[in-house]
Amino acid sequence: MNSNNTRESESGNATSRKRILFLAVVPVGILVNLGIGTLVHFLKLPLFVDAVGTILVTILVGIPAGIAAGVLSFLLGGLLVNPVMPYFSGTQAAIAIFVGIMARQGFFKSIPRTILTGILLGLVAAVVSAPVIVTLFGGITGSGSGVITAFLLASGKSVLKSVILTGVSCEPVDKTVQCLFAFWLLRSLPRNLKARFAAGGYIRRNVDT
Amino acid sequence: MWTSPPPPPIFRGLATLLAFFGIVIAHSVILLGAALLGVLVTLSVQGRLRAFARFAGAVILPVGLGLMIIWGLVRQGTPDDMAEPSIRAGVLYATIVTLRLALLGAVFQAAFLALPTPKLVNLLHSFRIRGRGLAVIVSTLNLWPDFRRHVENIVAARCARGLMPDRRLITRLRQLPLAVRTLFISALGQGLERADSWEASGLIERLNTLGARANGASDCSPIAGAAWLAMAALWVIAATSGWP
Amino acid sequence: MDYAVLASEYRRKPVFLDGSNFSGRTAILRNWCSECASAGGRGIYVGPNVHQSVSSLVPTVADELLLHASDSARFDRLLDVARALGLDRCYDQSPFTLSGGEQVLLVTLCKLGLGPTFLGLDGTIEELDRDNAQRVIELLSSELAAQTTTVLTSNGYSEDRHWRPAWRLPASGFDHAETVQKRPCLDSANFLFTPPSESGGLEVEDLSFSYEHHAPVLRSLNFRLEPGKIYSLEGRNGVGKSTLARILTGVLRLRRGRIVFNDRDSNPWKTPGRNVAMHFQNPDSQLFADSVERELVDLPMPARRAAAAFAGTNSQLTEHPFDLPFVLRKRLALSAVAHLSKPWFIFDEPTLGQDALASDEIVKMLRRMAEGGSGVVVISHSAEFIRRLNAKRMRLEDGQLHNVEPSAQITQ
Repeated sequence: MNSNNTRESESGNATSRKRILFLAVVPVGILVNLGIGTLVHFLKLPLFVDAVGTILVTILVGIPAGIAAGVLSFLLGGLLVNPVMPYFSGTQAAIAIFVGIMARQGFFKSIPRTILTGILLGLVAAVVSAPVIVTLFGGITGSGSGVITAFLLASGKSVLKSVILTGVSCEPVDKTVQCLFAFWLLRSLPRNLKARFAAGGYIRRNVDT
Repeated sequence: MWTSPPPPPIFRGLATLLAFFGIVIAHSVILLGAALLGVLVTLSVQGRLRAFARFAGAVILPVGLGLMIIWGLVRQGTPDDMAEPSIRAGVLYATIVTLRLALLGAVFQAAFLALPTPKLVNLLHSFRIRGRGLAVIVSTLNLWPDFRRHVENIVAARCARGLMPDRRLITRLRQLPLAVRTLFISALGQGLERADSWEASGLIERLNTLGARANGASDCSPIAGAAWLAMAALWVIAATSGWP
Repeated sequence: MDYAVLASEYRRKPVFLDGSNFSGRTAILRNWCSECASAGGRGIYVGPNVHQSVSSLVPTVADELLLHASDSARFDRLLDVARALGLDRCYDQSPFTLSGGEQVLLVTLCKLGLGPTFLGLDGTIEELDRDNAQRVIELLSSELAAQTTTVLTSNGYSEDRHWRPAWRLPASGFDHAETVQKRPCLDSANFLFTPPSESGGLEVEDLSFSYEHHAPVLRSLNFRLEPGKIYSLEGRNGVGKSTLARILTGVLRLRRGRIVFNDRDSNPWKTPGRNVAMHFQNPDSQLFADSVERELVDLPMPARRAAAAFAGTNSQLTEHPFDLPFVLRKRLALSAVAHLSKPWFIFDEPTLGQDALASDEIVKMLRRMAEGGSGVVVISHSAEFIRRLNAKRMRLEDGQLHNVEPSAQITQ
């Protein structure tokens, strides 16, 4: 084999390595997103955890894979879990993009940084979900936060503003918990998995590998 | 119409999109209500009514109730109508939104839920989804039932080692992080091995060929497809015209 | 042995690579796979968990065969063989709903369908019964394998190996990239038994169970198990052994019938794992910590060190359990349950992936547990393991439990 072939096969190997990671991790991200929902339902817990898989895939592989995992979780979730999930796939894409940008700057390196990321992520999610909630849901999502929306509407604010303000008060807490969860999960990965992902994604900038 | 051969995938997709568009712009309670009834009948014929009932109980009911309270009692009007408070207007608006939500869910289920997975592959393939995207979607769908069993096994293992000694809420909450961690790590390891095996056996390329081959010899009826599209178009016209 | 020599001498002749745990067989197989690929051929490695090798890219068994056939002529041949193997009954099912043995047949057939130059089956056929094992060997020697060199490894007792390998190569003494220098041993001398605070008989009265919308799995079961004895629970795949075990442990909720422990009514669902602890087949669903030490932290103090020593993980206390090789993960999961202080234990395939020596140590461990006053129930495909345990054999059939003669053949 001459050197030309070796160089070609090396870059071919790199592309095929990236492809393998994408093929391996995106289904896992989708399954984990939906699987956590199943787990929560199975343990009869009053929680709603919807983005941990998306956050993990984005940090491990990158933004395109994260978008794929998030959007597909919610599209397939429409078939497997609840048919209104597809309308929130846009929010998942926004989550993947924002998490990727923050992870690239190392904002999952420590707990305080992760908390900041979570708070900002919550704001992003609230703003992106608001139009969907207003047009399709008339302002409510059926969770307890409807009470806050009712209160704001009663005080005369417009629907959009009420929904955004409701989101801004609830989402940051939820998203911070999910980000911290992802932070903890990434740190507890076995060495061999951390090594496998060290080449791509943002894990090297955020976790000791 | 329900028993005739299915429409070609692309017609199914277009008709569904048109239906969604019509639902979002419709403003008549009677129209939305009639449409919902029609779709529910379809779902019942497809044998998927129970899935809709679960969705209705879990999402529509709480949302509908909340909407009635907010728009009927609290705001007493519609979002754009800043005129004098009218409980009737508010309740009407709440009803429309609830019906719309129910329809959106029901149409999605009627269009895609009854599809056996092989047809879904054809559908995706005809939408030009190939290679990695196709593999990821079909693999996830095929793995889902097995993955659910894996989730149950993890909870079972925690019970069987005495790590979930009772069924109180706090004990159950404590299971979540550790169960998810094991779920994630084992799934990731398996996913990597599976992807390696796909690569070693060249299965992604073969999947593309399979999809193309299946689409060539399909039992779809273009007439059924045209019928679906016509119905969807009629629906959009009815919705836009504000009839009745 | 050089890959080129192997390939030229052993086409259509499945070779058995002999060796104990950690003799480097997996490394050898993977090496040959990559050497095959470098030489321009296609090398396929299939591990012990056959479930991993099902592609999941297609929904049905028939489609899985179609996916792996290189052309329509080959597909027809695969279908013929599938029919002969009895897989045609399952054409419309998802491959994941097949029994373990059927999955092994399907995966072997599919991989052969690709026409690989090298096929490594690493522990894949370990649990196969006599008939299925014979079928796999015939498949690997058939015309379908004309271009394929197959190397197999297996563990467990040779008495359980229902196929006689015509060609064998020893694993030790090979020149390969990774040789495991230290071989962790499973040593029952390290096992520390903590007697339970309360021991007693486990009795079941009129127990019936069915999954939602399915036919009853267990019908009016009545039996009594005495402490200090070892029982073997046998029966076909899917007959309900796992269901019964889960009900006794408290994982599944009992709706009809009574469970009595030590002559008192017991409801395991409310307090899972209190009287009956269980070890499952797959270790990867039972390890929850990020280091071996932390994995064993819920054990009674003196048992913690013993548990790590027994599993052979003394020198790896800070390692992540998922960084350990499969054999060690299985031993760790086994040890974590065996060192609990409970009146009753259920072990599902405790010798999975373990060689004969390790299996014997597990026999000794289980005997010590029974002698110490706990009751032990074992589910195993290995007739030799059950024989060495001198277990009292029970078979679950048609929702009922029957006693089995000690010398009867094991049902699968």
